[in-house]
Amino acid sequence: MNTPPIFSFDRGSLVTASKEWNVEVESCAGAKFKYDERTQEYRALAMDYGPIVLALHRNKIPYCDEAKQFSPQPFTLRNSHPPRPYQQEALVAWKKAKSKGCIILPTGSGKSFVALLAIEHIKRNTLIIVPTLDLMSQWAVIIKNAFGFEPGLWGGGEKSTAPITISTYDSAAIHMEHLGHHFGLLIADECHHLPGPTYQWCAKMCIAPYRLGLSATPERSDGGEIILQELMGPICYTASIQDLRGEYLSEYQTHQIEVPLEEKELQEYKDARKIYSQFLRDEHIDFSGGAGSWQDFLGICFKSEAGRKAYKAWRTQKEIMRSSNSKLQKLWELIVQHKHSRIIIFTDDNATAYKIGETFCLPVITHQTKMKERKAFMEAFKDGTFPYLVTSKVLNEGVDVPEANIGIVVSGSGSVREHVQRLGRILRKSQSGSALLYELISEGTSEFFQSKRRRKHQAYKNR
Amino acid sequence: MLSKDLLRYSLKEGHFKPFLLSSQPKWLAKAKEILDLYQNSIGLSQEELTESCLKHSSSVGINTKIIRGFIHLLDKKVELHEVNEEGYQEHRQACFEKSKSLFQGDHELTFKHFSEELKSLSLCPDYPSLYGDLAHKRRIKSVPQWQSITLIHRYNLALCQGLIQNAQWVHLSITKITAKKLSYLIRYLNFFGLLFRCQEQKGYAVSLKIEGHLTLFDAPKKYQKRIAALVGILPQLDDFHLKAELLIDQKKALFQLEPEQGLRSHFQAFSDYIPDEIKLFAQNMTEAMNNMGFEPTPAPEQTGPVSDWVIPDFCWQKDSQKVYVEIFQNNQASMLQKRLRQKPWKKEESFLLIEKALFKKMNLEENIHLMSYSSIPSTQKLLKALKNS
Repeated sequence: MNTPPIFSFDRGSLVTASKEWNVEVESCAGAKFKYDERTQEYRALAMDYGPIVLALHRNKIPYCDEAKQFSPQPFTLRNSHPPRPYQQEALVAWKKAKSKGCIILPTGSGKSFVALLAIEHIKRNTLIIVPTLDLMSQWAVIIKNAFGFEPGLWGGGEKSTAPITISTYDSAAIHMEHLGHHFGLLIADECHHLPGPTYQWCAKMCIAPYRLGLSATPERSDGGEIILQELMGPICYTASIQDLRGEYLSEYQTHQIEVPLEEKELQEYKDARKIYSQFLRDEHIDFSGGAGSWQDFLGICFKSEAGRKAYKAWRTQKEIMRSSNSKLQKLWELIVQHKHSRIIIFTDDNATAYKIGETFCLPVITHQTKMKERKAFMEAFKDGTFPYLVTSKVLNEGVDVPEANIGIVVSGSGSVREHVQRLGRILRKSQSGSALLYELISEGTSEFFQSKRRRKHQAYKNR
Repeated sequence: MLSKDLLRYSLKEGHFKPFLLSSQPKWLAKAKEILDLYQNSIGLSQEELTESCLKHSSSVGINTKIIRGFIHLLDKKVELHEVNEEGYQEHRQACFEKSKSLFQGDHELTFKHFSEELKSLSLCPDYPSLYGDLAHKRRIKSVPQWQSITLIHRYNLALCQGLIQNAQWVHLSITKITAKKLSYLIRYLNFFGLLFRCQEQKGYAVSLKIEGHLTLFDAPKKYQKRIAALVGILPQLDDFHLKAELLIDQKKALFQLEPEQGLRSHFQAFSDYIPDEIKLFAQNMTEAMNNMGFEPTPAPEQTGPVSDWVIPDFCWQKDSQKVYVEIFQNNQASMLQKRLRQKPWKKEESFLLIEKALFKKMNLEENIHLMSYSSIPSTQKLLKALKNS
């Protein structure tokens, strides 16, 4: 009679001693394991815990589970309201996918509520991973209001574990190695981040058999969608902005405004652009899929005086495009025009965000903003005490700014995802009617092409 | 360690070779120039200091990557003046109020007049700018007091660490190592969550392949930073040969480090990577053992394959009587599992102290040779067990 194998959790993996390995285990779960001669054990990825245990159970093979450190929890939603039809459909689809899969819903449509329903359904210790500290704070409030207890937090100097724990992706990548066996349900908010080379280990080192990925924009330029499905399960439900606008999301309009540069700035822009472009030609660097990359450009730049000049010229033209005087004036006009609305102003970089903040005395949130002040700015914005907010990228995703109905993109990257997420910030249904997204583009500059690239999404068609 | 954009190396005949700085007067002088710029930077912002260093590099023609490498190392040790953060926050709040009433008020101001009006309303001598408390605007209070040679040594080490960060695999060969030193090395690897695979061994000459637990599943990147940190302690081994395969910008080649390259370590001794509670236990236990007439003794000689070596954390001897103590913390499950399968010396001499959570996890039963501890290993418990054995 074989001794049943004992499975334990070891630094993000599932192990069993070689002496306990037997033919039965080999036949039904052997493909997931590799023999580790360093420790004389059989080792599998922690994320394969669910399939392994299920296979052993189905085949009635005895085993001893010392890996699992999660247990049934009496999670019951307080003051719950009935889900909207599409939220209910999403939950049913996820359950049908054996509680392992991704739900794609637009920003502002209530993805978090679907997650709460999933937590209540599974009733096991849960880990929610989020990309930013702002989102972590937001989730902490949601969990406290929904279940009536303080969640554990990993990130921003916090490290406490509770039946429901919220972590940033960065902290989860560090702590999962030691705590990945404490959770039965793993929820990845903004799960399009998960396939990244470091973050994917958050999911791989966790034994949670139940998994829920949430995103509005699962597409990745590197094809990481396939990895996402391996980590979190298939996409089991999708609804787009177009499906929900009107009834559940605000109606919206987008306006592109081309802002002419002042004569002096235009000349400065042209001069800088000339130096930069000439250098690219001289060095045979072609960013449009040809030879050379940004790293090559930087490498060459620092080798010569001409290179350093080209780099400086690149920075100058970028700065003019992003925050020209005319853009600042246009921004001022828009704020005055919508002075009684909640306005969120987006920039591509921190320098521009602070320039706007200093020029108009406006609150700015970047990764440098301290937690206490960040919270105060968000609250003042939400309750209308101070209805204007400037941010670079940290509020692009997830953070709930329900009353924002005007978005002004002063500058941005060419990323479709970023632009869709920014639009999402102002779409949450509120009483203030239709939402407006303005996009300021410096006329006659390369920003035009950047804007064209980022608008390649259904949400911007015919708008 | 230096980031990828600061690495300087050549790729020749299938080998990456780091451009290490020598301690020749030319480099000592260059390092001094930068250190002097730092010395004279008290009161400037870090942004201004970086700018002046880069300006200097282009005027004297030093490769900017070297200067940026120096800046990278020095900036970490720069101390900034404290600012009145609460004062700034209150000032901002007051400015926001003024700004809001100006935006929402009924007036016919032009953009220019609006900006001027806002500027005058928010002027305050104590707070020259609205966000003046941000790190990049704060003023430098003190800078590291390094010698030129220190900066060069640190630069060389950081450069090698930066290169190793791109390793696909790393082999560490040591031709002569004592059992004790090797035990410290293994403990160090364990401290950083690394495993090793013994590639070759002839007596005390070993070649180890350094890996992580999940390297089996194609995760070389996950452990690159930890392995790169290992480079910091290499110079403390009298004799080492590190061989790695690096993948940089899609080019794959070998990389080697040896004592002849002259790397110097400023890291604490790797044998010091012992948690405080264990240090405290060791101190108390040594005192108690001394009182009983026991003296510390070197770890017993090992002969078999290095992967089977068992090296106690503490050894004491009184005449022919020997006492070996091994400590296992919660994160050493696999080490303990392996240890329990081995019996290299007499049971009555050997004591294993195991952290409670691990003890419980492995379903062990207490006896006088196998004891659990909760926060600090108990000397009293061990002494009692010793007497009983």
